[in-house]
Amino acid sequence: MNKQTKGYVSFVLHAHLPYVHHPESEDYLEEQWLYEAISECYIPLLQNFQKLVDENVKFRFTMSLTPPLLNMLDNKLLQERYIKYLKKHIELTEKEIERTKDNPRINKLSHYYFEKYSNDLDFFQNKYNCNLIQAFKKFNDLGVIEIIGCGATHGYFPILYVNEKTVRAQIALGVQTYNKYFSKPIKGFWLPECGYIPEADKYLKEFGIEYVLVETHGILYADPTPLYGTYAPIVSPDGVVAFGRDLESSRQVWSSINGYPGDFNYREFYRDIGYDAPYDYIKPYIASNGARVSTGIRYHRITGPTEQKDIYDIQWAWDSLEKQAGHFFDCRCKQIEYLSEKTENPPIVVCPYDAELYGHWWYEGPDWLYVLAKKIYYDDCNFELITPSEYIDKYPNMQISTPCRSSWGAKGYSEVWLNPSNDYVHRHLHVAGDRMCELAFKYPNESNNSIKRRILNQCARELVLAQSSDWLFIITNGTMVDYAKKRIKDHIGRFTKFYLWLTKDIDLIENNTLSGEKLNFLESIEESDAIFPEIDYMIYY
Amino acid sequence: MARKTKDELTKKTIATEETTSRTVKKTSKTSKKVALKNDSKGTKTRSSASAKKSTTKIPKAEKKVSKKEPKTIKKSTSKSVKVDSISDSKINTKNPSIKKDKTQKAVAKKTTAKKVVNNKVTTKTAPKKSTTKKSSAKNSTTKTGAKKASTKKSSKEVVSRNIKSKAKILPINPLEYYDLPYRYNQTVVKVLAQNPNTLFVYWDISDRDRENLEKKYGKMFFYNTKPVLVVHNLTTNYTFEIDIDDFANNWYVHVDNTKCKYVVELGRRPKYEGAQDIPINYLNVAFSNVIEIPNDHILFFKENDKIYFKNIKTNKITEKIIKKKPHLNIVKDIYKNYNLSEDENRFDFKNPSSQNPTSTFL
Repeated sequence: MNKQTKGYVSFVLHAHLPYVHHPESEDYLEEQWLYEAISECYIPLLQNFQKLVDENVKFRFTMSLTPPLLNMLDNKLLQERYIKYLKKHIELTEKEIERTKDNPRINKLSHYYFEKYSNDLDFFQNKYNCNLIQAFKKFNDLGVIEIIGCGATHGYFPILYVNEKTVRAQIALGVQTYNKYFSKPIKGFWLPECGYIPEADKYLKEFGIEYVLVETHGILYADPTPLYGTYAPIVSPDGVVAFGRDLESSRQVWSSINGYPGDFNYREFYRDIGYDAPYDYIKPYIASNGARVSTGIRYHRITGPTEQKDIYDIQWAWDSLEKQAGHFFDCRCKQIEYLSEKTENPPIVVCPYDAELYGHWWYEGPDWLYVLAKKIYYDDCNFELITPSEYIDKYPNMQISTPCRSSWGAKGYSEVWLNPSNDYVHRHLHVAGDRMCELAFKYPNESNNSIKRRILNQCARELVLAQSSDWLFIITNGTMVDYAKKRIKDHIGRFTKFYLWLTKDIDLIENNTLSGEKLNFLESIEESDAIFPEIDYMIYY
Repeated sequence: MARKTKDELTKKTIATEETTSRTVKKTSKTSKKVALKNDSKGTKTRSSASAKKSTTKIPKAEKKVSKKEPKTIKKSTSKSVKVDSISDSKINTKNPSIKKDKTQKAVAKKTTAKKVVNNKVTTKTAPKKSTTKKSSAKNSTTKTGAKKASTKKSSKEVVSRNIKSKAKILPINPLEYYDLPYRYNQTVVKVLAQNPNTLFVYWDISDRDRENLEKKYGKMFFYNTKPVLVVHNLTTNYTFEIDIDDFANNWYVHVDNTKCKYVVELGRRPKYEGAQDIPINYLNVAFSNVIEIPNDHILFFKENDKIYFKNIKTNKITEKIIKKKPHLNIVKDIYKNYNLSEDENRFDFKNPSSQNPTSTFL
């Protein structure tokens, strides 16, 4: 372990899900995103972090937990529903143990899933009292995981900034949410979709943000050209540090041909008993309308480019991930060896990923991270894991340069969030943003218990919910489009309704009162769109 | 617009479709002006036309319905009335009884579009058991369809479900339905950058501004003039103009110069040279916001360029003058790692990392 450190590797995992909260019904399949992410991604990551801590391995990862995700993890109703989800899975896996008893290879997996979901329940309910934020906070406080902030609802800045106040509000709310759940001062900020615009820097600075992460060409195309490419951070004229994604390492993980998650021994994503099991048997565990959906219980491995999938074997998968961790490790050693001769400070290789890649798409991903962290700590190598803020503290001297306007979406700019399939949305987001500012200006500092303040705050919630980049992404992507379009309509529709109350309802404007019917409506919306309970609409002032 | 009758509008639609094709031809002739209209141009023109009709109080909702819906539903929705084309909010309760007597087949075929329409049934239809409906509205979006469409989802199985059993109690939320307003009746031009070579522009002219123009230049002003977008590159001081048409409300504009500031001006010109009653050759309607379009290549240095370093803890700034040795050599060595394209300063976006989805869940 007495190694000569010539450079650093920094993993940044971006954990985000859009706010999906439907107290009125349990039938929204979109709500399952959260439960699947908890079981497949967040809990396995947390358990692996814990293992590393228990084994005294020195490691560092950086994670962004977005405000919608934090709000959902903190939501009592969703916590209860997740427990229900787990209990149903435990019940199903018990049945599976019986159903698969004639096939020992599959039966072993049935037992594995039974234990997995039982452990999840114990971990969630008993260990962390149904609130996983505490778990993340624990690692943040220990200093092994650096939690960073994100825009309020993952609003995409390059589209919102025609009204800069709406960008400022996204940043303000994001930082407020971080401060609500974590005690260490915020240092880093995940720009939603890595959407960088220089105009946001002054607001990031205003809220104490030290650094952001940008896509590779955000650095390469910066002005002036960064001398050391993505291997050293740059600082913008407004004083925000930008780290750029390393190309080589991200290709190794992502390549569709030989990327790690495609290993033949890994679990096959598309074979699930939700589709494979006899219909009447599986019916209680799939969508309430009877449509077959995935359950997360999967017995096959990728096997190869064939429809004849072999049975998954946990040990084989483990062998593959160890091999791949070794490959990643060797490549970084070589890369850093080469770079360290060129750069003034030890180079940094920044590897940002969707957190949900680890565990959800790439089932073995969290274990791969664990093996890799151990290897970096124990094996002879020329680099260490680091967080961006630690790197800044060590090497605060950096080139002044303005990053290029860019994103990590396909083609590198705004096409994913602005194209003929979703361009009809933007005028509504812009008008709602302008109207929100108009309202704040018209009714500044309403007293705490006034009904106007409640409506104004709900307006702000509806606006930020409509601004989620997720809806635009889903429309472009062509899946679940109806849900995304409906969410945009709902939030813009509710916003507009409240806006009209505040501009047309004489009783409300003059006497600060609301009719019974309207009050009921307001209450019902406050309950369903319950993100940011402490929001203060004056962020739009 | 709002004053036109339905018939007039229909005629107008046809007329503009013709105009549109003409405009396109014209644009392609004047090749120095490059205008990219998005692919779905036809659709857009049509949709804007129908949307405009909605201001004439023809219920838009009803129109949509008749295209897609099975009879039973059509009947009920035909009562729906668009409340206010601008205020855009409607709360309606739906009549689930319609649904109950649907055949299983109908259920299987059901799409969200239908559900949305179902939602539109106005409060006038007796709101019996509004709950049944709700549950079905959710079915619309199965995650399955998305990721796993490939294999197993057989519609037979979907058919066999039992709707009634899924009825959920709806505790609080009154059933709502909203439509996005077609326009906000304000004069506006906004421009966004889609990528380093494409601007996206949207616009509207308020009724009041239209009336004012008609008052000033005559009732036929909008007939005798055509809209144009004047694109100003503020960085290079270059301006070009694109003919657009009155039935579009947005446009994609191709620009050649990246990393430049642009402002777009919406204006009107006489349709024909020497058109009568138009006393002016050009009229400005509104200006857009200013936007800087992204850079699309590595800028690189020249020898003797100055770059600056800052210690962000002490704020001390130091200067470096770029020399061939070592700086330009370092840059060469560093940047060769990025698989740059032939002209050596562009980045290959086909790399898998930039295909990274927002979230692997969506």
